[in-house]
Amino acid sequence: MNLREKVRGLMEYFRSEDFKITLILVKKSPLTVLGLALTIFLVLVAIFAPFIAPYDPIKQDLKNRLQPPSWEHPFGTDQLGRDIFSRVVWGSRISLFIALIVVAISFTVGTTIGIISGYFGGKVDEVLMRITDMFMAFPRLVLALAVAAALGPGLFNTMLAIAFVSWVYYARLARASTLQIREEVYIEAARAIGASDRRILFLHVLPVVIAPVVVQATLDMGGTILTAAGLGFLGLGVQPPTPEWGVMVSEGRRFITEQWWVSTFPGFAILLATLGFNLLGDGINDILNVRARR
Amino acid sequence: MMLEVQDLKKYFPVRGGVMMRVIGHVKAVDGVSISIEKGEVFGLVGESGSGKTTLGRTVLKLTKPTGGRIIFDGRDITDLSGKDLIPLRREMQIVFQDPYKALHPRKRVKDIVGEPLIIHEGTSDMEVRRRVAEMLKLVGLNVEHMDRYPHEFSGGQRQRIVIARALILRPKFMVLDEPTSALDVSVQAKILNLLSDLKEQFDLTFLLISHNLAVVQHMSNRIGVMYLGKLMEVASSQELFEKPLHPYTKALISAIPVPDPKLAKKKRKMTLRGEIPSPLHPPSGCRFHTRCPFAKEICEREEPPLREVEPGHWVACHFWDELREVGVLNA
Repeated sequence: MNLREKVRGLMEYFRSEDFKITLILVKKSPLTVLGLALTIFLVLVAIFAPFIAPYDPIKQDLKNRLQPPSWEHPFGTDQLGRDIFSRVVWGSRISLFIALIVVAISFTVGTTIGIISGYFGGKVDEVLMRITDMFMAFPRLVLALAVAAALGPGLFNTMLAIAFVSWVYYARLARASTLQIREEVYIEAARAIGASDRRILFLHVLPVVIAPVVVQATLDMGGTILTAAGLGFLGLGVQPPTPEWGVMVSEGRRFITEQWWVSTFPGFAILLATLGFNLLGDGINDILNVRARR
Repeated sequence: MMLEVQDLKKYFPVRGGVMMRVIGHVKAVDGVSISIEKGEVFGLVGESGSGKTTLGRTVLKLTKPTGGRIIFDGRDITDLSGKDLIPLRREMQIVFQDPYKALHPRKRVKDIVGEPLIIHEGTSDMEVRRRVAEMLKLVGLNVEHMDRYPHEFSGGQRQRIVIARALILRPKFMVLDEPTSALDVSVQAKILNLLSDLKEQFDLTFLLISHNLAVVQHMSNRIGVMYLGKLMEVASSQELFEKPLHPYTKALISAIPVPDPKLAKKKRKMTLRGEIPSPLHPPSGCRFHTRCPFAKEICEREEPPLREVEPGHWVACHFWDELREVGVLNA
């Protein structure tokens, strides 16, 4: 199918009854709209960060250190005199980037392993699922901490560490759906026309399995931002002077009683970003469930 | 000979207990031999649970047989697996019972019907569209249906899509697994007529599986009656309906409703007691003895073999000759 046909298909979909029903369902749920709005807001801020931020997020100005919020510095300044507003705005890029990459990696790896495990069953399934059990035996953040500590801090290693502990959830979910779909007559029909296992897996099983996994991915974006901030806070994530929200909260900890703004604003940013993705994910989940019932 | 099945067995292991050990087998198909001539329609009837669907799937190698041999068009295909089966799929196809389940919900008709072409011939997109259009016309659908999704169609239309997919590679042999039982009565006849027409046009051979004797009688040259994984009787369609020999066949035939009330009164009903027993623990001796009104002591002990008692008429009953005159008075 060429690109033009794809675009035409998409346009057709936007005009269809199906899409209208989706819109109605979205409108009916104010929390989903809020989640969508927060997420779009976050993405816009990340894209236009250089135009929004009034100051260089890394440039120090020691004369103006620990200034309270004012007209010049809406969120105040930190211990090195950097503008916190600019740092929070730039930080959205880091957080969103981490969330996207981590979710993309764990989504791809987890889903692939999950559908293989569920489809072939038997020993393959046994081995793969015992591996996921091992991962799931540890709390996610603790395992990510251990991996991050082993790999050493830094942006790339943070992403690797979080992806390393996240894929199992996708694998479990994809496997569970695959187990159901495997027994469907249309899968047997695919076998009857001579489709190879690989063809069945990626062209017949995957398109059906992907819906619940996408929901998980949206929900996971918030969790990933939180985990990345957690690692940053503990000093095992992204390193200063990169304006990462977790690092910023951590740096402001020392001044929390006198200069509350240093930790509070990046903290709010984490809160809003996580909340936005979670509400959106829940909303998508509800909508898919309603439609599945139709 | 299109298809020859020799002593085919398909057992499903039953697991239980704490260790999930195999504690028994469901003998879904337990030693069935059938041969189907080129161009023939072989009907297979039996109650649900008699193993007829499993037989159909095993013949196509959609499940691995436990024992016996399958010879398709002169080739022994019993032990083929994986990639070796793929070329075979061009020649043997299946039409499923429930067209609501047999079509992928997220695929367009074009992709469903055209997929066999892509798999087997690597056909280009343009050519797929052309051939799918041609096929849709053949099964009584419109070319405009090509870009729609299965949920936009009625049951009968969906079954036409299933048939189109099965037929697009021009197979020689098709298993029709209850092709009409999930459909409204009004469309059943249309689908059956379509299948008959296609059979003539493409010189097909059918294994028609159904629990509906009327459907099978209408279409088949020969009929096999299955009960608990075994064949009870095999005969030409006409012979089976006029002179059924096995008590089970007689019971099935007497269960067909007769539209004329006068004739219905003349008809002697032979109803069966109880349900079909569990294939996990089939009765000893003749499997039918628990429900047979004529069962004697020997039936419990000894299993009657399937014997050719008249040319082309096979029956597995100890007392077929004594019971010749008993049973249905078919008008």
